[in-house]
Amino acid sequence: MRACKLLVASLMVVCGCVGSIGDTEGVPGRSSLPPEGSAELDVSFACDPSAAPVPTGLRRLSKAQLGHSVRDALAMLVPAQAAAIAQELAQPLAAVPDDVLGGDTDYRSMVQSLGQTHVDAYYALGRAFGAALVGNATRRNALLGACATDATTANDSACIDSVIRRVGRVLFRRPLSEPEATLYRSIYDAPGLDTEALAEAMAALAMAPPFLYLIELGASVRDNGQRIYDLTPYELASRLSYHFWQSLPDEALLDAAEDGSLTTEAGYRAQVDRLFAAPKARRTTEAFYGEWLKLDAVPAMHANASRPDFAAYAGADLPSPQLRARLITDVQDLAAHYTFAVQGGTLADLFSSTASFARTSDVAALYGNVPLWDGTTAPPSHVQPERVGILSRAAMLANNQATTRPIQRGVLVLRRLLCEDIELPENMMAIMLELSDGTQTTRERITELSQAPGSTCNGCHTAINPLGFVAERFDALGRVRTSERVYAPTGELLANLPIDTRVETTLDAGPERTFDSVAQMSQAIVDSGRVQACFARHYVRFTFGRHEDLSRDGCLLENLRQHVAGAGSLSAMFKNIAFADGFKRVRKPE
Amino acid sequence: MTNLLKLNRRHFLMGSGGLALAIPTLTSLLPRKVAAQAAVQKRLVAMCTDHGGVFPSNMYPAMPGGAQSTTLYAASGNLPRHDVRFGNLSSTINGADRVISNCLRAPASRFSESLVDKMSVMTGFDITTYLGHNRGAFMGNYAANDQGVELRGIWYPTIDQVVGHASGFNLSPVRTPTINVAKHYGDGSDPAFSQALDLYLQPVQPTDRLQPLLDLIATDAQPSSRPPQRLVQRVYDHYRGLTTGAFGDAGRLSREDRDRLTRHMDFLNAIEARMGVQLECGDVPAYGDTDYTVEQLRMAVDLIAIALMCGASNVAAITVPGEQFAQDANYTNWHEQIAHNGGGPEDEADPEYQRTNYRAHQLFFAEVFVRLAEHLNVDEAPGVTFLDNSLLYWTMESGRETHTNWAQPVVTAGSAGGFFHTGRFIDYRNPQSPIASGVLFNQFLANALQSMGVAPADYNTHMARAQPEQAAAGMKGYGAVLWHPDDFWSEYDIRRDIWPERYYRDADDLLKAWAVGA
Repeated sequence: MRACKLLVASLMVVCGCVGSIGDTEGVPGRSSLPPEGSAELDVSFACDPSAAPVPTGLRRLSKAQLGHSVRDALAMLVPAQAAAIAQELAQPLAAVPDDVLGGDTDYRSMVQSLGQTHVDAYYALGRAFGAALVGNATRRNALLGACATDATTANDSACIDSVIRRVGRVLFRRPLSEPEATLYRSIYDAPGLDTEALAEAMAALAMAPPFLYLIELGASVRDNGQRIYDLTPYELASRLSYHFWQSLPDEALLDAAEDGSLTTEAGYRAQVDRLFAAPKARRTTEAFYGEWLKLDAVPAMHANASRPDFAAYAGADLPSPQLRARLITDVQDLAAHYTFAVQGGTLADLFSSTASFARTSDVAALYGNVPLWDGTTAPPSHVQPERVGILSRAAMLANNQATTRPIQRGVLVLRRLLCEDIELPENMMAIMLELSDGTQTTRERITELSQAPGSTCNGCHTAINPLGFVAERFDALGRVRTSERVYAPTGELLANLPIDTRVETTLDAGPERTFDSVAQMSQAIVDSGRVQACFARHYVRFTFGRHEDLSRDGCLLENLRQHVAGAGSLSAMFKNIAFADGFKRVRKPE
Repeated sequence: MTNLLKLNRRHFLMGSGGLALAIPTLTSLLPRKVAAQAAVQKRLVAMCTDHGGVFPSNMYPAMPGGAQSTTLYAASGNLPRHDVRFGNLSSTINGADRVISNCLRAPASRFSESLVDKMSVMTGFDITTYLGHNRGAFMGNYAANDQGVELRGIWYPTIDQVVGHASGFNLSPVRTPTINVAKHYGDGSDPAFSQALDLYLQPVQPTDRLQPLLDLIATDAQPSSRPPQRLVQRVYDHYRGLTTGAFGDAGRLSREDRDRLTRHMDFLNAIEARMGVQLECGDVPAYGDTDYTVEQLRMAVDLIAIALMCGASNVAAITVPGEQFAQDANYTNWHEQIAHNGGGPEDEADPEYQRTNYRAHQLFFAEVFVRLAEHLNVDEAPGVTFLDNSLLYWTMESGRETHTNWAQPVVTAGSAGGFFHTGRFIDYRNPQSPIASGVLFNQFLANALQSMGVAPADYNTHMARAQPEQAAAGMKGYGAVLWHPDDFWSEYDIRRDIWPERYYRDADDLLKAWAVGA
């Protein structure tokens, strides 16, 4: 009855081109790929210096930013007690709704929904913050200082005023205005030093809009007709700290805003260098790399460990519950190495590196028992010649099935590295591959089903599949293989089939080329220039929490692209965004 | 404002495996305040199990002798006549069980004949496009789906949100407009929910844990000398002051900024309103807060019953994976073997896997649906039970075949205060239709909303926002209006032959055979 029948199995292709069936990640097709030689292949951006910045509205802190901000605020306010209080606040922080991706939001910073659950969670968090901060005498004394313990009560009121202003300065990322100080002082309406009243005042500060939202009203008028304003020094400090740390400014940055040094060229540069050199910068780049490369999508490797076919497939490498996180760390270590450790590390290095970052024996085993890395010294080299670049790392290859997923691998390359705008089709047909009988390789089965000449699937899968097939040298656990083992659900080995990794495709405006390995494809991706442009686009999405606007962000994007093209370094790119013209200004929407 | 809803109670033990919970039963000890209200407090509980694919032969009883029929649509042009058939719902005793069908079976000790009389079993509610996996369709948000690509941008708040926030629905302040006990629904795993949440709320986090339910019905601790409302009011003052210029140049806020701050203030107001509600729901056992098992779902059902009866909320949603209720161990991969191979199409399904599939749903029916209905089937006022004033409905992620959403089964309990007939088996499927299509699931949802006192003019606003063209064209009901591209059922023109527009235009109408006023 239906035009496209749904078949049941663990593999899937989509026709027409499209989404997914079953409980697998959606695998989209695309409406059309740029034709060969098309100008749509973005390898550079047009810069119009006269273009007005993209308007920026009120933004709430992401869940990650909120967590970092709370913990860093505690470290500033009550350093000796910060760890214990943070532990107490872990539950209310966890209750804040996740920033869930989907639709147009492919970075968590883009998720700006606000519901009752958010405000409920903010309320609970604020109450917990206030209660914990003053919950015992040690903490109260640490927060209030000498005025809390001296013999006189004459200074109690000033003591409360002072602590409200101090906590407010940290949480609001600027000094409280007088009306704000009055408002929060009014919450503390008890005589003397009252713990409950103090906890309420602290709670209120933690629920306030200047803490939960990034409010940039700007200072002087630059172009009133377009509502463009220079950021105030404190707003600039905030923008810098959330850019580099995903958190609020530390005392040094607040001080630089207060004493004016942040508005000097030298002072600004010194702060940028300091912020990027701080350990907190790595959590930001980790968040970016993780989202860019979709590391969250690495499945729970051990989930099917009890299935006979998967157990037989994995053999001695049966995943433990910890393996997934270790594989993600492996990729994050590689990215961090070329971002921070290697002077002048480049984007190209990510795609050509043969260094190994396996810290544990189970990861090392997947890599052919490569020597372990100690996490600090120079990493050893991979022992397998196939391990070239980030695309050859297990986290980018592995799933928890007994068969590879070339379509998912291909879609990742297209979407995240080449910025192919793969659109979901209007009409959808989805086909799941039947369980293998052992007569065909995964590649052969997918090709037969998705690339039949003249079929509706063919248009998309001709572009998607080769980018996945070329990685068939790696099995479903990311191990190098020379043949494909096919298992029945019972765990019985049905066949051992020869693999074919040779593909013909094009990644740039040139003619089709032949690739036989991930290493070759990775080099071609870099040579195409597209990954550099795509990287710049993704970073703008991540750090500004919005999609790039090619007409208004052209200068910024081109600047970033040039920093990661050629010999440009990753560290220079991450830092350089703070020197882009628009970084110090805000354009307010009507 | 303080509103004290007091629930005195007598305990009875109900449970298994050593688990027992005391919940209220006796009419004479139930809250006078609720009973004394001039208007009836209604309650809505929506339930959904994953996948579906329970074949009609296992899901439904045979249409009884003496069944009636009434015409929904006369034949018109090439459109066939459409009648609804219905008859009395009856049960038999088989061993220790009371049985309506293979799937609708529960221990007779709990599943009383009285409850059967308060149920309806219905088939023939269709969603006219392809959703595949979905997480909110059972309550009207079709956007959160995996395969219905075109629907993803057409989000409607789920009806628990609509009801929970309808003016005049909660006759007394509640702690939460909705209770959300869910593995999938509303868990934020889809932007369709995130967007819907911009307007509507789920104060009890979608939870697969018990603690939020326990918190919901917990008796307030010793009242503080510092009323918490005051803190919320001061925080509110800061948000409001931003919009009025008390704390800076409000002129630099955009319209969108102001809307956002206003929304935040609305949510603060909701928190403040909740603070006025004090409950005395009785002694609640201290459960461990671990992931739901079937045992703990029983506890969750008990806690929901308490919450509904003592006024913590008047709306609840429950969803669980079918596999959670598996009674057989004949599979290694539930999704592939049971939900797909066992869930259809009917002429291709593995009979053994179909049995495993319907038995899992049967256990949900017995342990969740019946358990909750029986808990609520105690007097709220003389001669009228909580259940009588409620609408409990259970449907599935898919209909008679996994991944398709036509012929959705709907099992109800309660008459929503006399709004619906009960004790009926109602078949809206049209044998004259090439795919035995029925009426729209949107119409079912619209009827559910109306039974809770939500007027069409109120819920129609969501179509006006989400699908203005369809609203302007006179489409009604609740939920997205979308026909699947015609080639899905390659032999038919869906618009003309299967679900012509008249079904949508009439989707606010009360359902004949089910609604009393139809």
